[in-house]
Amino acid sequence: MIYNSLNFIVLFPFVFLLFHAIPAQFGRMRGVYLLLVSYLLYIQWRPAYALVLLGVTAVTWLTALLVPLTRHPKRLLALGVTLALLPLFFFKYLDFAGEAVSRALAMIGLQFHLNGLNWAIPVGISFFTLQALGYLWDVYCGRQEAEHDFLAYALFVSFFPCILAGPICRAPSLLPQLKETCRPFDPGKATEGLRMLLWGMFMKVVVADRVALYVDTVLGSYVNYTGMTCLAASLLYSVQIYSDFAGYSLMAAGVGRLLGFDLPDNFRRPYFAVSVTDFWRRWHISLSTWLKDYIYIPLGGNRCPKLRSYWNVLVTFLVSGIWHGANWTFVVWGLLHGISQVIEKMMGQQKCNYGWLGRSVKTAITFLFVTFAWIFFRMPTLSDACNVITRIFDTSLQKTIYSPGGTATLYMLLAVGLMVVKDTVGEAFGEKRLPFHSGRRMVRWISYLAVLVLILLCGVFSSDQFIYANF
Amino acid sequence: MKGFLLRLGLFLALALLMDRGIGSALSYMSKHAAGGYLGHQNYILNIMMDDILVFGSSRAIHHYNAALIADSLGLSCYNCGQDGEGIILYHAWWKMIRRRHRPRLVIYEVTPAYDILWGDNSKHLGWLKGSYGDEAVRREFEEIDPSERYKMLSLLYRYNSRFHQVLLDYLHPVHNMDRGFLPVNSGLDTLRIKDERQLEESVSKNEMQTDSLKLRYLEDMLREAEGTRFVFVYSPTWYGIHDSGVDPIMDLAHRNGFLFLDFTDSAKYVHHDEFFYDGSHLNTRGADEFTRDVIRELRMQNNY
Repeated sequence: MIYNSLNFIVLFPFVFLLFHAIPAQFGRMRGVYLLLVSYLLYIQWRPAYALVLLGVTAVTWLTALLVPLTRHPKRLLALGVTLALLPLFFFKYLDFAGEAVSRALAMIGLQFHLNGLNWAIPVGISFFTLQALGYLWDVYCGRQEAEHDFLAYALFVSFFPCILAGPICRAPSLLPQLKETCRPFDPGKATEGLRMLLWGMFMKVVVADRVALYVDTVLGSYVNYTGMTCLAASLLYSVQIYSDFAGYSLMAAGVGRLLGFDLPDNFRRPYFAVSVTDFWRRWHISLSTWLKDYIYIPLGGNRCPKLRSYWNVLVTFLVSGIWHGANWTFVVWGLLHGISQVIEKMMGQQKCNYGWLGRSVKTAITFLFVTFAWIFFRMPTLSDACNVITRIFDTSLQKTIYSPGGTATLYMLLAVGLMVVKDTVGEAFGEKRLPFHSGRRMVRWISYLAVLVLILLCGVFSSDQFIYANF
Repeated sequence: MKGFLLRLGLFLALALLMDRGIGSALSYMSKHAAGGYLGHQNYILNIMMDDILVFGSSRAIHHYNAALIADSLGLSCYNCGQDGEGIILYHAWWKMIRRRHRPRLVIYEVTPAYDILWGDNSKHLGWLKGSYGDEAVRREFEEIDPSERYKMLSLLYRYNSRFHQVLLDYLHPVHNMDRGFLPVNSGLDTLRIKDERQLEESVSKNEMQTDSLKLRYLEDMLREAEGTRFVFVYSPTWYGIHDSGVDPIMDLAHRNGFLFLDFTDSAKYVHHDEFFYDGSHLNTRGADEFTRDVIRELRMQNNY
């Protein structure tokens, strides 16, 4: 469900009211209802995709049930993981792998071409596959009991607030909530959910989509723009991807809260990070903890020789890069993050032990590095990314910055400025100091209304897809 | 639950009140703006009685010196050009204008992307949002994006991305246009010149991308011409590349007996830096020169 679409605004109140209209004592019915809604919404994209979702659900559920019973759990786990990963591989990576193979064969004079299915990737496949695999691994390690109730498990994998682009939920925290749907309505939680929806919407339609107008114009045809303009667009892309994805995650968590579920926090003001390691504790938290628990730690984590732990970091971030997309740009992006963290580990710079000035410098350096890496993430090919970087550092180009005209720049600065102020206050004094969380109802309501007015007056309402929905 | 729904209802009522209040204030200011873009729009839709009108995008605003046309032809002229706009805007405006006034001549500056090529037409509804009350405008919204009907229930949304313009044009009206003409007194900014080969490649693909809705709107406009002559003009670009995407407009003009003037390959302008401020727009000198050329053509072909 795209949260910034009219469909969501029209449909969700009905979903919410009907969910709470089912008496709490019929908890099971609530679960069935949510499963039905999740699948119906998923089918909206393309009905055939639901078969992939169902397939991954069935395979992981069955494997998890059999793992404790078999004499060869490792083999069964390997089979289950392979089967669950197959759709992801076919839809997302076959084309990339085929291209790499055909290039290698071309070097020895052989012609080979395999058409992939990357034009028909089922929505959210990377997210629900990871979520299901995490559950399977938890069952294998004994951290989670195998779920016997297929409907509850199917809801866990397909839960509509997070199927499009996460957060990637963990079975030990979400499954019990989904099975205990007989809890009474919690108005505090619902209010918090609405607050999250409101600010998430602001981040998406007022900030991300507004900034996207500039970023897409410049980086879409960077050869026509100066290095300074490319730099401005790259910096703004950092703002865009943060406000887009954090906005989405907030809305997903908000929808979850409205229905009475606690979904994990996915962002904690990542651009205030003092190191790349710290950045990954604040950015896409559900993915980074997933990678830590299911890739980094099984590889040996940091309880092994130093060189081996550096290798583990590199492999983890290589997987992160490949997970984001079947493209060399993502591989480079992942490796850049991995290498920088290895360097930080070697130099003991993961934390900040300096005063406010040192902290500010480290924050600025981290932000600039992350922005640099985002260029690889944003551009369609490695050569495009390198060209943008070359333009940025090309001193022979004119030092002018393209401005799209008074109106667009004004709205963009207003939107970004408000978000920066909000995040700075939140980082320095805590969320509770923000008007949204004020102890005085009048202040809270005025701030809600002001944000709503800003959304209506400054938002970009083209129902643009969220960036991470493409992964 | 009951308490929560009551509080939510109260909040929504307050939001509605705010929407009506601020929206009505913006609507009032917009309709009474004396200068800037909104003043220009108010003049076009409510007051203008000129004989010759110029329609088109920024290439219309910056290329046609309305005073020069008026002086040379002895008829009054107003440049109704609007940045980044084309037939989606002018189709609705034409319907609104012709209810009270029938000009003698409309010079329509053609920009393929805005007048004929396929694209996201909802992006061109912005300036029409303030006139949503008009039946013709409402019908156009329905055809382009039916979901807009629901968004337009909010009065604030009607001024989305334009509220500062409303405030400026009402509180501090600027009169920097000369009968709608906005000359750019500047030399060529070479940074704004695009790669010609890339441009030629992208233009060569345009032939296949005709937008049936835009074409229908153009046909509608000509059908409702009744006493107004239309002249379509494709003004010069620095590149001198003829975009074959405009061919359907050329055919349409010829079928209806209207003139189509193509200046894209005019040797007088192509690669002549002194006439342009960027690859697609003439500067003041270029605009005056070009306006004289258009007048000459009009005199020759129409005995003005």
